[in-house]
Amino acid sequence: MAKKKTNSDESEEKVLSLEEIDKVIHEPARLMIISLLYVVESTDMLFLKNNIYSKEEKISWGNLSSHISKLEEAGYVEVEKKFKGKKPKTFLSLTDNGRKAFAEYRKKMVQVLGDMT
Amino acid sequence: MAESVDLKVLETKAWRLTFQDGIWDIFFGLLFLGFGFSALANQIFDLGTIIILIPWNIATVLILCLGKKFLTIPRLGFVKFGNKRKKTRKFILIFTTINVAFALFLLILSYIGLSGWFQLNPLLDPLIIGFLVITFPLSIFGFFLDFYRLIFYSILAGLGFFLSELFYPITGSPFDIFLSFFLIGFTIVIIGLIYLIKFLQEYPRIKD
Repeated sequence: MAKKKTNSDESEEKVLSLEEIDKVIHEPARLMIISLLYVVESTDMLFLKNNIYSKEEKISWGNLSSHISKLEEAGYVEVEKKFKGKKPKTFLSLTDNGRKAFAEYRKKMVQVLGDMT
Repeated sequence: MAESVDLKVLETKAWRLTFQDGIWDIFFGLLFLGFGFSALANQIFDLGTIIILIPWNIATVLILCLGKKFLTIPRLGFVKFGNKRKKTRKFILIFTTINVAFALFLLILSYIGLSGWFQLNPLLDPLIIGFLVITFPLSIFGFFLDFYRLIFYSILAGLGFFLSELFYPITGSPFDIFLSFFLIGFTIVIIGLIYLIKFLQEYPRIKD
């Protein structure tokens, strides 16, 4: 006979769900970067910098680069370097993996936060 | 940072930002100014409308392209939008084709003298024509492009022919058309310049 779930079993499951949250995406700046890349086809670093925070609160180039590197390492973001004339330009787009991971992250967050009491 | 991430809002915000430079406003303002000047030119020399309108419109398109390339992109950055915007662009292209065909149809009708059927009232006709040829199509563009200032400009420009009828008793032809479209175009260019100045202040050029 199946054992009835107790309150402590359910709480444990919720904690386990929280642990399954993708931590690469969960960081606020990276979440904004991946959200923006999710709704556009591709963008350069400048557009990203201008758009991920409010006008008053801007991210530094160093921080932005480090977050992009983490997303690239995870295989979520594709970084393409192109030359416009003599100037190098960096273009970013979300990979299929990144798209799937973000969709999964959203699903999981809705599930976890929806269940939270 | 925003408290919540609404993807639709995020996309729309990024899209609308591309209109905050005022360059599209200046573009539409210059188009209407050109229309006013061409009406004046037609009186001065034969084929004046064409002689003025073609280079004027080429220069206007150049201002738009160069402005985006040298003012907007170095400050705001470059972005390629997704499928939703591509579909909108396709719809606008089809809609523009239908509108140009309709405008040509009206033009041909007036040339061959068959335009009598839509002559109702000297003051009402310019309002109807302005609405059909300018206000309606431009409002549709403004709505689908999420560029709501364009709806306001379309109403202003749609009033152009009506205004020219009001100016006619004072200025005579062709100064009536020139004056009404000059005022409308000039107003829109000024609004565009205000947006451009605000944009240049808000997004200074970042050194490479």
